[in-house]
Amino acid sequence: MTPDALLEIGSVAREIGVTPSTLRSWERRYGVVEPHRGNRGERLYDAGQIEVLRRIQTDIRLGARAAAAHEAAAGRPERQSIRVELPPGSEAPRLARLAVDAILASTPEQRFAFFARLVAVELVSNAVLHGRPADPIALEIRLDLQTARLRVHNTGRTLSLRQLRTRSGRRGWGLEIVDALASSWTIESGPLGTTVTVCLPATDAGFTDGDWGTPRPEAV
Amino acid sequence: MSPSVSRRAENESCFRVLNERLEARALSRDGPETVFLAVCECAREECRERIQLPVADYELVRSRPRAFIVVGGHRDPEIERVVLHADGYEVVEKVGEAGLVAERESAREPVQGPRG
Repeated sequence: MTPDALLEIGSVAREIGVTPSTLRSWERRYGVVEPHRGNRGERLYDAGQIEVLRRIQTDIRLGARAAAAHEAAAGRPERQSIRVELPPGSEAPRLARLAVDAILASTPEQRFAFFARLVAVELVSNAVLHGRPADPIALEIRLDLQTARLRVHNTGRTLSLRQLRTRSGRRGWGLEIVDALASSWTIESGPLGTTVTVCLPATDAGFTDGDWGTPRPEAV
Repeated sequence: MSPSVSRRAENESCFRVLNERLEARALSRDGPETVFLAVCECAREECRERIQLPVADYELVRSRPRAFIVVGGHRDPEIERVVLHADGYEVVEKVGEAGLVAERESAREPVQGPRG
């Protein structure tokens, strides 16, 4: 999808895994995403709006109520966030590690940072494996009050959780690690690519509000 | 420049915490006779090697605060010595400052339900 392309409601609904009526209901109730209108009055969504809807749906899948997910999407500030695009090759895992360091640079909780790096590397390695070789991999890290949320997106064919979990030789074991470290995680896969979102509970590491480090985005 | 001794020792302790969680998941899934796939507990954070071993064997190692399992050849001679050559892995024991870090970090996490 090019940045200025518009998708109709049915395609968007399939892409993020809801029904068109759910999208209309969200629009009516919360008004966070107001689609463009075509010549016949039909709803059309741009890439940015699809991204917002995907975030909302991810939050809901991770246990948030719809209202809270929309409130977050409408701009409730995260404590900190970083988004980087990684080249889809062997360098990507190392750069993912640097991205985690950039946002957790001064945290006193080294174990939490270690686990975050580990999860980021596993997710990005999977994205390199399954993504389209020419397209970058997007890594986003958001720190909220109680969690770090890592989100990795790659283009390429639609993937199922079962395919991701298929173990062959050394492949497929990374998700076992993610399972062990995450409080929850989701996968959304459609024609536009695959997004895996993982929540790491900061409370596991003994974090309290105010413990997050100062980000150094220039490190990536 | 290689990371400091204490940083390398902390890395190994983090891998050990991860292995405890992997072990707990295997135990709840397959029972106490199970074999599970642990991560190498060496000092290199980038290491992605895996070690297959019975839970009972891992528990023997884990019961010693300074002992860790590593893939053969992954020992860091500056901070540890090999105390056992096993099938597919080695057991190393931390010495000096690394040993103190290992002891400090050896408390096990409270038992939790399965994640994910």
